[in-house]
Amino acid sequence: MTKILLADDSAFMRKILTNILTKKGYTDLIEAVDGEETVAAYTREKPDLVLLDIVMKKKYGTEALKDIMQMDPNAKIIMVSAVGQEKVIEEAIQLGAKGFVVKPFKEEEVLSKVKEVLG
Amino acid sequence: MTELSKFEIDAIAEIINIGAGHASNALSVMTRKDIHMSFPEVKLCPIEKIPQLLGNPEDLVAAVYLKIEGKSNNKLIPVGSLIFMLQHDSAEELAALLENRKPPKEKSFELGEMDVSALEETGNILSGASLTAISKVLDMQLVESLPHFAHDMLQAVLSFCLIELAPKATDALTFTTAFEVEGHEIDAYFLLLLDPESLELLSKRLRTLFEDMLAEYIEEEYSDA
Repeated sequence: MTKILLADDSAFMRKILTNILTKKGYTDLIEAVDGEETVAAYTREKPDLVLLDIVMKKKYGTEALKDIMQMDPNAKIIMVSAVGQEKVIEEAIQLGAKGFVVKPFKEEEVLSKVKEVLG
Repeated sequence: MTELSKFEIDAIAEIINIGAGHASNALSVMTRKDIHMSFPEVKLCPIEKIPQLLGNPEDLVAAVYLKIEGKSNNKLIPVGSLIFMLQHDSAEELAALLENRKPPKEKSFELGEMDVSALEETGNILSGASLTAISKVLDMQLVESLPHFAHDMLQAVLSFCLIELAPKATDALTFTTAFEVEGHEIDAYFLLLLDPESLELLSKRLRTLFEDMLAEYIEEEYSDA
């Protein structure tokens, strides 16, 4: 079963993502509420995919992205953030993110990006 | 002190409106609610008059506050701050609608954990969209801080938000807008508090953009003459 890590400091956003993914059969979901917890959860759980927010407590998503990519260059990470500025998107892709979804998103946008990255 | 002309204020309103418009449309899809946002009323308001603009100093409000910095030559420079604010009743109603439940019939003075999260994320998303639009005009990457949520009296919330800016700025750009979520009117306020240097830069960039547009228009109109 595909294991997905939802890393977002907003409980509301984690709930929305959970609803979207669960409906499509992705039920093995784990959550992290800040950047440090994200890196720890990735190390412990080795998820197939991470949906990663950028502006988070303790460690920004871009920093967590760097740490995870150093640990596992094959990690599949999609950034999901309200920060939609081109330079931020470019930076995340250069750091190894496989995709970027700008909040607020349409349900189909998230699902098609998840499907595309999982392959 | 930077003086903004009516044209510049209109141009800023349009920029914010484009960003916020995209955000409210997508927010509507995300929450499966019919959300409309009115065109923002933009004012350059003296800082000491902001509380009067928003209501009674003793009103209970919910606010999301973000600090904004700009990235220039790999250095972070202060740009200002952004506040998304709702009267308590509107906050309670918006949170209920976002969470897909009926707004409470009886008045309460509290917000639940999920209410706070929903409002914080809404403020975050709307601010992100506005900042994307502003960053394009300023031609500068803008970095926002973690959102801070406050649920307190208007005066207390504003004092906290304005304390850093007050010694540097005398005026703030304020946007007043109204959401309509499935027939429910929700009054919301955006305050974009820019450092004087950022306001000056924004004003300069708008003038340049306008001059470029005008030059392009003249060239197109008279190139065959």
